[in-house]
Amino acid sequence: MISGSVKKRRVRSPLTSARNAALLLLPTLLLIAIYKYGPIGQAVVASGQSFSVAGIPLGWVGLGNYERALADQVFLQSLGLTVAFAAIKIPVQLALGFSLAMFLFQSTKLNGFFRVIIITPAVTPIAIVGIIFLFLFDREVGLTNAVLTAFGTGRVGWLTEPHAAQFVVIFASIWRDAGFAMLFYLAGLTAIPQEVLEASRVDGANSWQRSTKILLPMLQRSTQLAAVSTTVAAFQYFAPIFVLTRGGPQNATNVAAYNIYQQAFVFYDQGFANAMAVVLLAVLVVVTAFELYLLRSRWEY
Amino acid sequence: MSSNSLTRRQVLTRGSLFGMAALAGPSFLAACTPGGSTSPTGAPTSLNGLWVPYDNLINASKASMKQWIGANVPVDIATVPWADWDRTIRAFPQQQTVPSIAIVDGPQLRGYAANGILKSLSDYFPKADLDDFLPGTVPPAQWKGEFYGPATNESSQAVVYNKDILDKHGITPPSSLDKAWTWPQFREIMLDIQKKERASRGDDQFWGMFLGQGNFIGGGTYTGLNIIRSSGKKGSKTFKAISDDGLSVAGYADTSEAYDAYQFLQDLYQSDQLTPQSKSPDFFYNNQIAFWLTNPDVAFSGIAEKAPSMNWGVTPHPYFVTPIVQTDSYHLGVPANAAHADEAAQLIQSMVSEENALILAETQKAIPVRRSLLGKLDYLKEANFQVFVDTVADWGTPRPLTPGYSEYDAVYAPMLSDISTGGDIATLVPRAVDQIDTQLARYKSLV
Amino acid sequence: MSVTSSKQKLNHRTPLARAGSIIVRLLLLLLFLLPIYLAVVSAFRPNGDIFRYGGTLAWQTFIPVPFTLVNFQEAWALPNFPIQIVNTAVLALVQATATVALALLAAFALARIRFRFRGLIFYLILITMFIPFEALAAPLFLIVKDLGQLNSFWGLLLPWIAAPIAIFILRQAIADIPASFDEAVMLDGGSLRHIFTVVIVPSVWPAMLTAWLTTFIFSWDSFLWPLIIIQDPAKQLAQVGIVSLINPNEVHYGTLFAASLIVTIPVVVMFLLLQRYYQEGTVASGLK
Repeated sequence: MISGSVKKRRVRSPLTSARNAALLLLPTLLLIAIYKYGPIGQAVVASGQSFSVAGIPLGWVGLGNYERALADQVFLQSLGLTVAFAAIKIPVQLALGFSLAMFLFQSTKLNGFFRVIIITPAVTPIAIVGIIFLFLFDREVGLTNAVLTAFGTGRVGWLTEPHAAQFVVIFASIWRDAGFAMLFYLAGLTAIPQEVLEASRVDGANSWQRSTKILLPMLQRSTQLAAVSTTVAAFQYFAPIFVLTRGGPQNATNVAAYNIYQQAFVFYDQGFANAMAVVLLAVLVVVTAFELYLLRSRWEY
Repeated sequence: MSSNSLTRRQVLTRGSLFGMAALAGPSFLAACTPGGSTSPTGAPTSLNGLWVPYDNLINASKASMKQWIGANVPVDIATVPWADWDRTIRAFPQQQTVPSIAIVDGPQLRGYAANGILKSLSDYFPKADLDDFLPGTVPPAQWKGEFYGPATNESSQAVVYNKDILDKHGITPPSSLDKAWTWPQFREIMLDIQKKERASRGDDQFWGMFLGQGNFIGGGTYTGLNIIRSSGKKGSKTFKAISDDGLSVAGYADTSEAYDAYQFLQDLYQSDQLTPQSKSPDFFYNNQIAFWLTNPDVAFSGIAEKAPSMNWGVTPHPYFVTPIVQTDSYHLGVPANAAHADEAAQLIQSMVSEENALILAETQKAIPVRRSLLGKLDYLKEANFQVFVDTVADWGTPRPLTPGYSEYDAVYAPMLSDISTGGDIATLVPRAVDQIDTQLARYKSLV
Repeated sequence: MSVTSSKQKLNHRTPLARAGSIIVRLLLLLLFLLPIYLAVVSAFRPNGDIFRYGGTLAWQTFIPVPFTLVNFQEAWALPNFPIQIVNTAVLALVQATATVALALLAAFALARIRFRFRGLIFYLILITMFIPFEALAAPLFLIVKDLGQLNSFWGLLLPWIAAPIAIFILRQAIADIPASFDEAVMLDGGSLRHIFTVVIVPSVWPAMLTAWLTTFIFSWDSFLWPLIIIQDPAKQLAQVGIVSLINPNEVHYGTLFAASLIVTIPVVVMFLLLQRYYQEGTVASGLK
């Protein structure tokens, strides 16, 4: 319905005007420069300074803060924890999201109800999720220990024993975000033609084979999207840790983000905190780049 | 309730008599200080105050302000949750408008003074006042010879117990300091009661004790540290807990006596299971706990509200070698960049005048900040309160005096918590000592 | 279980599979519903009862008898709590709307106008999606402090409204509209503004809704940022205000859960109402 003859008139069209593009992009670029790239520059600058306890820069200390950071056992451990927490969360969450999507794919009312239940935590503020888990895993009045004692085992110090606390923090985070991963896979499944789903069933393939051999490859795009969005979230454990453990017990949940928060806003040691932030950023850039490289095949925009 | 109000009326009649004499002091000062509210230019129409959200303290503060407000301007009180307290005050210098008067926690005062957050109030509190203030409340508020604000009242700590439960097991705890239990004695008694109670209840929802106000497992630096410090002889490094300049804990927090006390604390929670690893004292109100190591503010108001029918008593704080109870409470301060700082200082002066300090203490049923008032409040002579008062007089000691208390507390309290929850003491203590000393070293230039 | 048998010809399912399905559903209820149920129930019982019945399994652990609304009264009476709810809601609405508006303009330019470095600029915007904010909270704080935006609504809002994810979603949606539509408008003498209002906006509103809802949830979820830059409790957000109640002298679970419920219900309701569009938008923007 639209003729192709008009194409030649484009030469001076507003659609090629750099001025128009600049006007439209200006607010966004300005904000991105200040608030997204600005902190990287600021971190580098501040990491070279020492700060008074009142937060006032005292002078340049060269690489002193970096030397301190790289010699700080707690910080090095927190870097490891950050990567480990993400490395556990991403695959578990994807697998859970995929399984839930497969299980709840049929649009029945019952499935609709279950989807709502699973998605509700995903939109509940993360701090509130923290409070729910604080209660659930309270050593004396939490449900988990009430169940355990009913079965005759002793109470577990869920938030006071290092490995148990790590489990709770990761569990809370996955519990919360599983619904998001499910949404990505549900959307992907919707895009698969109904005949393919039917055919795979008629072929007599059992549900496990159907899921892994036939559908999973078709859902590659969902996996990529879910993985990418999970990766960004998987390094952000701050709120559940702040509510549940405050980095404890014995630094078992002291991920880098929490450690930096403590240095910057509890000890008011901005120089040290910013040096840690630069190191953390470098580590995360490497990890994220590696993951994007693994997912590169069809991740394009 | 009725006996309470009777006491109160008696106290008020007596108080007003001598209050008449005190009245002249502050109001005279207020009238002739330049920049006071009588000044025609720049006089405030009201003052802003920032308080912790505890009704008892707020009501008592308001009562003690009445006299000043009657002659001056109203005071608007806002509150901030306790968890946000330290950072709220630390943010004052960066803010355009700050309250004219703020509640500050006693041990933190030196840090605020060192950082220039608060205004010196030395001009408003002559030596006669400082001598009358209870000794636990003065050194924390002093920095480089200046005085930064009086306490609203004094605190104390002792062991509150559930009398019905103890009667059932034939235990009568001592009520005088000289007969106070040592920690090993106390532990034996608790173990016995806990074992019998758990057997008769058929579950594990009963404990010997609850340690502290509940904000930290292990009791934090207010309650837990008593146990550690008491393991040293009076004047020893263990007892002092921090160097005299307040800049190092190495050699103080990690002595062999201290290590034994850390181990004892861990055993209380772990091998003995004597205290719940949960943060709420509600178990005590529910008759699920026999003893509660706490302060009078929390005990009296908490029990009155949550378990009014409970039959309870108080026994002195247990100890190892030297009895020690860390005291001090909230103070009143004026931010350095406050508007109407002079009026605010006069208000504080008036609030802790002999007459008003009595009201301030009496309204919240607390220990008054002034020594001279100790004999004038009848409730202090009730058996349960007497133990707390005697404790302040004989055993009261300020918490470690350092400008870096906030950092010290932020490391030490989690360390006690990690110890209590079963962490390796030999790893935790040196690491915490190292971390604290690193943080305190940053105050070297300020000392 | 009759629902499963109807639509999708699942009659060949064995009884074993059906039993398995029931077990999985029970596990899901246990895993996802029970924690929320307990939190809701605890909001309706006296705090003392939470400690009395929580430690052991009994019917009282799950049924709030006696039932009380006192926690809600206490939560509502908390200093600044009502104003903090308003703060959270206003921020979420303004942030979502501003984000979509900015992203729409930027996405339009990136999808439709040809200019030098377009690819590079898009890439530089998009890559910021992968900068984890929590790693850079400390330097961002210093920047916002230098800009004088501490303790202010602007400090809460400005760092987030240029959102790479929203720009990405909208750029995909705009790119899917045939370019010939633009040319038709131009042929009729229309300007860039006409293309934008006549062609683009009416076609991408599902994607706009997706971006809006995503931002709304993101804003309602924010925690670390308000925690560090807001000191005045009357300017604080509700989710931070609630958490600061945990640390005083006792854990008052009853009030905590009542307050949590009040904070959570608006965002959950908003999501459930718009969920359908959200899913359509996800499919449209991400999976095509």
